[in-house]
Amino acid sequence: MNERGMTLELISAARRGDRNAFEALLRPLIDPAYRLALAMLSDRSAAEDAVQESALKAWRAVRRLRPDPDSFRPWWLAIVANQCRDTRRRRWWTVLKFANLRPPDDQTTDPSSLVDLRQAIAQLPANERLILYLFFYLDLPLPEVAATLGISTAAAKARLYRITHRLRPGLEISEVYQ
Amino acid sequence: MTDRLADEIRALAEARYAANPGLANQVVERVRQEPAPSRWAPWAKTPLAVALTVVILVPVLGFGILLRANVFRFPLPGGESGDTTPALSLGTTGPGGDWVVRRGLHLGRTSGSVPPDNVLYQTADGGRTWTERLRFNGGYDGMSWDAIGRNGTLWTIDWAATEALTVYGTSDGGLHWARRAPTTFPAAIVYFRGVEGWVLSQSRTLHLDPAPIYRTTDAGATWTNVGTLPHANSWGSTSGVGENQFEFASARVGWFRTGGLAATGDSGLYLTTDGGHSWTSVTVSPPTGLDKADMILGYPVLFADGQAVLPVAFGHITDPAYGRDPNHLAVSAHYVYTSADGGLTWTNPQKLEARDQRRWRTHVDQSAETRGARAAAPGQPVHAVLPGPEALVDHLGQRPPGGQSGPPGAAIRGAHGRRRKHLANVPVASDHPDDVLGPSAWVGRGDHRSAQHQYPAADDRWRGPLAGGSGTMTLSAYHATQAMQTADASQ
Repeated sequence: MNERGMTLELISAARRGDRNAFEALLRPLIDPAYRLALAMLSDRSAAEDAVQESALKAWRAVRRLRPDPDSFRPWWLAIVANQCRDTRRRRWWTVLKFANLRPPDDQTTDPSSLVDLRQAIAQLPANERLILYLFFYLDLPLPEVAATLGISTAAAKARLYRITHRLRPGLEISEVYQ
Repeated sequence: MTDRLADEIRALAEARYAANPGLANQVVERVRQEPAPSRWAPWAKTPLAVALTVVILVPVLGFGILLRANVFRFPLPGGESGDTTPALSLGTTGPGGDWVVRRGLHLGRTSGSVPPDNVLYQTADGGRTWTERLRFNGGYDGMSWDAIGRNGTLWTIDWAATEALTVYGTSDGGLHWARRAPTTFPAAIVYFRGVEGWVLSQSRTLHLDPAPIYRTTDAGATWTNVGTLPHANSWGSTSGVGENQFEFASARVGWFRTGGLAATGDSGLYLTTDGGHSWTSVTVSPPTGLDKADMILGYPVLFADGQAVLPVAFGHITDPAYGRDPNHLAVSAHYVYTSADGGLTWTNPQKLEARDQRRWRTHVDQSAETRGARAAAPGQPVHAVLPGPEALVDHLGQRPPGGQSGPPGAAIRGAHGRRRKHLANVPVASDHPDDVLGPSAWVGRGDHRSAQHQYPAADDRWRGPLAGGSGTMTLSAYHATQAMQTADASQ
């Protein structure tokens, strides 16, 4: 049986409530989930909590997982992403500071200027940061990025282009997906 | 160029990353403690289930109709299988009972193919039974009732797309809800009470400077631009259900808290005395010896007799790489300023000492490296005396000692009944089955600014707080509730 076949077997077993199968699927994806959560939340404790909560939610909902060998990772990361959004929304102390950000107009008039990427990314809505991290940091292929976000591949591609173009106005669309 | 961008994004993310080799085992072990998931979903896809569904469809539909008609009631908001506890958000408590929102997975989405998956539940018997009242989408922001509990509002924001605010209104105590048209402007920060609300309109992607402020007095049916907030680049946005950075004492007098570090000409707290038309930075002078420290102003706490208190934190930024990001302020001292003119001027700073657990409580999480007082006592609550008017302030951090993430929020309350009811922004929600006394949630009381603590016992019935108990979160909730009860009794 090839890897996809084994994955499908594991997914089928997990959907029947097999903990070992679920663990086998989950374990290699905990670190990517942690990386994603850390990137989204910028807080180790919060990221750990988010991953743990996501795992519980995934286990509770595992029977709704599609029996498709490619379905687990985007399904799992989508849960993590949702948990991160939820966490950000629930933190009473979270403050997104705009103080030192360059207004968008300034960026377009001076595209060659050195933009502080960290601040620019911090300014993005959570969904836009998410797509950047999924594609550039976790190296997910576009179809999986799209599946994680619950949108079409074309929409993911367009969104990714729009965001990267905003971050780097000179970037051509072909360069984004090379 | 793309490679460079990708490299930079990776480098940024990697800079924060530190391997946690024990995490996988922790997560897996935690999952092992969970009961097996419900078998309902797979069965639904079998031919037998289809047949069964047809056979029972008519009774179920009838049952649903009767349910809508409030003929039947069910014991708990969400977790249909009874073996899971959903993420719950603050509702309110009023003449019509308690209200809780079970948040859906599709946070923020209000359109497209995603069905509404936030559910508003009501209980009229202290939590023994719950009735579904409304399904809605978006990021739930809170709800509010008038004094008699007939006219209510529920506020939700489409964080994922338009950033528009949608208000649901009821005029029959919550039996029926009408959805107002979403605002035509993005809503960054919302403050509301009853059918009255203020919105700071600012998109996270499109910055307007100055940022317009809209007001409604009819539960979102109409909006009027009442003014602008200056220095749009100087404020950020605070996340949290029911949280806001506005505070209004009346239709004319209000405050806006930026959440940022104080700077020259920008204390981080702005005051309006003309309903939001114009704003001025509130002057707060640091105590002796702290004039070089960084400072973050909190929310004014108002009392009916014109007295008011303002918590202020002093400290320093832990990592210069974060610039003046207030999330990275290491707090070395908490002070409280007092006002005798309803919060127009602030004087007489009093340092809060960590010795009295009854008056002032600030719960913090265990992230010692990034959060203020955590450095001094990571994971421990900060207790202090609140000088002057007796009040209780209760900030719940994310992670109570020895427990999982707790419900975040803040509760502020005057005592002895002489002061205005004021429990601020307790958003709530804990869906952690291993919290100290089991799953817990906060339920608002009166309007969205007050709260009481309830928790489900083993029989899934929601009850009031326990006297005593253990665990910071529970104790704090208990103290908050006790303070409310004390105030209620004396009013």
